[in-house]
Amino acid sequence: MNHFNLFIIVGFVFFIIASCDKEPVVPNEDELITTFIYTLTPISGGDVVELSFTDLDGDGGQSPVIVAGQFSAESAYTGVIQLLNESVSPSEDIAEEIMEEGDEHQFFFHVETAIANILYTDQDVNGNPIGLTTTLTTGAISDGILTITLRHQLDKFASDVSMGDITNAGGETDIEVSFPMVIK
Amino acid sequence: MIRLLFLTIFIGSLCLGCPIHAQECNIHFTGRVLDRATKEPLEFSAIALQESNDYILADSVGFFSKDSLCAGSYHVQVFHLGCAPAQHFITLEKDSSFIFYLEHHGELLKEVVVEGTAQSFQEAATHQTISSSGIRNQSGSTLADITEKVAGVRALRNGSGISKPMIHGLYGNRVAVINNGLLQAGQQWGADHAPEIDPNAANKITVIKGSDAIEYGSQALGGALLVDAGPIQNDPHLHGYLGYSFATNGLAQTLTGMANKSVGKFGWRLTGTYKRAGDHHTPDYYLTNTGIEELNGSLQVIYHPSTTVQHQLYYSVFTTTLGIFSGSNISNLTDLEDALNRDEPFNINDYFSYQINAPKQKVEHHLLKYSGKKFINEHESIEWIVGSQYDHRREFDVRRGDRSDIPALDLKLLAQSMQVKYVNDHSRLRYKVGAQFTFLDNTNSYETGILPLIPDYLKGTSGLYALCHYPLGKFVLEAGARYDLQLLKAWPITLTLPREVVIQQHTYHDNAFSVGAVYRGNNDMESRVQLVAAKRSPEPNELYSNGLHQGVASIEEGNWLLTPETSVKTIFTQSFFLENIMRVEASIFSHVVDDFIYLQPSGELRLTIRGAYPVNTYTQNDAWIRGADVVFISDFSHHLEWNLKFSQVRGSTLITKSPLPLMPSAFVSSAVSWAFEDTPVFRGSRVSIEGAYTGRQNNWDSDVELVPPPDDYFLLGLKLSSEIKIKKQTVFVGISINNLLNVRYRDYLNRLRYYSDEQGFDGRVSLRYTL
Repeated sequence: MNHFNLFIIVGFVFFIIASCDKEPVVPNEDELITTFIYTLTPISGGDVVELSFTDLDGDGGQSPVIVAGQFSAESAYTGVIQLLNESVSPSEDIAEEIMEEGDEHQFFFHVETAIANILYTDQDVNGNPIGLTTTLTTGAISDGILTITLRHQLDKFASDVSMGDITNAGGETDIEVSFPMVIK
Repeated sequence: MIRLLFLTIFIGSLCLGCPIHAQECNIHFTGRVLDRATKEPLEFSAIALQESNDYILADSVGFFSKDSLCAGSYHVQVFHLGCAPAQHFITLEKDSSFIFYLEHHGELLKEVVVEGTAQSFQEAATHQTISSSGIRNQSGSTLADITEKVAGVRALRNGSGISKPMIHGLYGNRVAVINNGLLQAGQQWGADHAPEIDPNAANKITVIKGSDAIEYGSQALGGALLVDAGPIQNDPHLHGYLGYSFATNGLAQTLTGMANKSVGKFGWRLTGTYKRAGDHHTPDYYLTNTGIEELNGSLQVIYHPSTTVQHQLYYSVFTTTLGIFSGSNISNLTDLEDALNRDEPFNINDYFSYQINAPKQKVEHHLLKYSGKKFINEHESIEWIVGSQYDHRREFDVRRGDRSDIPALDLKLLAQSMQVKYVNDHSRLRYKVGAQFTFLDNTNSYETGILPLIPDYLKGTSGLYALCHYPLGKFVLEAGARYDLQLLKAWPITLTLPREVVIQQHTYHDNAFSVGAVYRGNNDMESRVQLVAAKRSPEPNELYSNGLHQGVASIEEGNWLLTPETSVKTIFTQSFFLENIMRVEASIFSHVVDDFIYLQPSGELRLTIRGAYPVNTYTQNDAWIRGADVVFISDFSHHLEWNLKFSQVRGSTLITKSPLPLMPSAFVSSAVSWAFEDTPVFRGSRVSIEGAYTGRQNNWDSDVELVPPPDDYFLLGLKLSSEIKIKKQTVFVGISINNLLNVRYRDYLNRLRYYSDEQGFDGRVSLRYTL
């Protein structure tokens, strides 16, 4: 065998691959949560506070955008959580999905150093809280961090879980976002 | 001579004597019984001829002889104390002499190859072989579990059911698994992807740690594992077995079966395995969702139109559903820290179940090949293989809505290969040359609704290799070379919006060289040294993987800019024998890899809507892996045997000296076994007790590991086996107990070490009825 033949034998793989093509389809990421909005409306009037976390391209790519807000001291707010998937058009309401599977989901609210108290105002089929709607009561002037966690397939009957204590909840974290909290 | 070669191949015995004309019922039948691994005589073996009801006893050096046998075909059974009996089918037409091999220390020692036999090509090999009886006696175990018996081989685990073999500290992309001659085309890159092979379909498993790996391509940089269905006995009667095993831990049940027969120029073999296990159990709690369901089968047909030509068709299917421990189903760093601080994992049930829920894996693997072999003349042969493989892997996660039934990862891999090999042992210089072509086509399903972990790709490889050796006095010299041209075309999807498909193309030239020498002293010592230099180009997962590994709470990122890694491995092996007293085999190795590709924390903490995740990227660094394996066997008497195995591996970066992740820690095991005298009912009876100590991995990088490696542990095991003969039927009975003391422990090489303890006490009963 001369060198040319050898070259053809080794090289034919090269030519086959080079001439082949694939056309992958980009998956429709309908499960993605791109947008988290916690809207807090003061019960006795005043400025609405909107906390939001937006990451339109999901994990990786561009960094998420976090918008925080300012609370008034000694005030009560009604809170509503909105969850959207804006990577698809029209955008999808994920909160609706959470509502439907309320017995498998629960939000947890943790406030560090700031003075605020959050109570659940909704219930799943078993009478346990979900956390899509809440009331938030602020205390004295202070600041800190508010962390909101959504757990999936947790043990909602474990001790203190229905009181909003995440310690014994288990499950998988679908959302964990933190916002600076300023009470003035 | 060609016919004799076939005799060796087909019935594992070699005709020695030159036949002289004989009358009917005047045939002189002689031979010798040897240990297959060491080629030492097996004294006082017994040879039973079923058709003539003869029972021949060999002498103290394994020789036997019998006069006045009638011409005809005989089923021969060969027995030796403590060995698995061997079955052969022979035809006597004239005075004949045979060598029968029995498995004695098979899996512990490398195979010694006798000069001048058909397999003499493996002269300088560093091989360890696990025989069919070794495989069958562990039915229900995974491929990695079985190969772990070989010193220097460990299993990398992901819970109870998923394990992959690790040779001298390397695994995955660096250990080639050769399934009946073809490079296994699965998703072997994943640490939680077990090889898609049913060990019960194999008759022989070979571990290669050194230079012979050159024949198997650049993926064999760390070694190779050969799984072979083997030849079909040249026996016109239907033979086979039906086996059942039950294990108390996980209430695992395995049903295996094999049947084979030769009809004229044809021979066929059929195998099948069904395995089912539920939740495994640690000493304290159930490992919820660790069930397994597996269904496998294979069909082999051999056709030899003449004594010099052989054609073979082989098909195998492997299907499995594996549950992933529910307690490892966590998400971000906060969850991981919570899980690490718990005595008992989250999400476990206090009851047993066979149920397999998400997260789980479903894998299907098909292999179809046609191969042939032709002896051109006494010394030259040519072999060829054409094969296709299809691998479908689906991984399911716990998802919102009804999406848990939609896989989160859905990969289809189609592989085509062609190989041809020419062997010549005509002159003193024996050589073989070969060419291999492989095409891989990896496709993601877009219906997952999730960006794929690795992109769609096409990969083509063409390789050429040559191996030769040359005996020179008490030395045998060997050398080898290989060249591979690789073309990779990948279609990754961008992480930014709008999502776009990008085309990336890479061309690689991989090459490898090896040199080695064996020095054999006066039958009581042997030294061998081997040096292999090889280059491995990055695989698609190392270049492009992108995604979240929830089980370890990290984001894994490929690196498009990786270059091939270059390795130089040196192995020195020294053996000493003291006949019938002891054997020692010790080897040390040093493996320097320039631009070693591995996953390293990048220091970035990436914020996602699910919280913060550390980012691990594939990086390159010069690395040095070194270690030693020692095997010591002592036969105190015909009945009592003691063996000791030790292996140690150390791996670090060359310049900064920081430890490499997932290197096995020191391992020592020792077993004492007693072989009972055969009785008419009980044959090959043996009892053994084994202790195994696994050290703590003290060389670890606090920047890489989430928690310090687990403590050292000691496990005790017990085994009892016998072949019971009732009338003309034979039933093998084996009882084994693993983790006899129900020890609570965790292992560094198990990815689920963060969440749960390892399995506790496990009692196993195996029954096998031989047809």
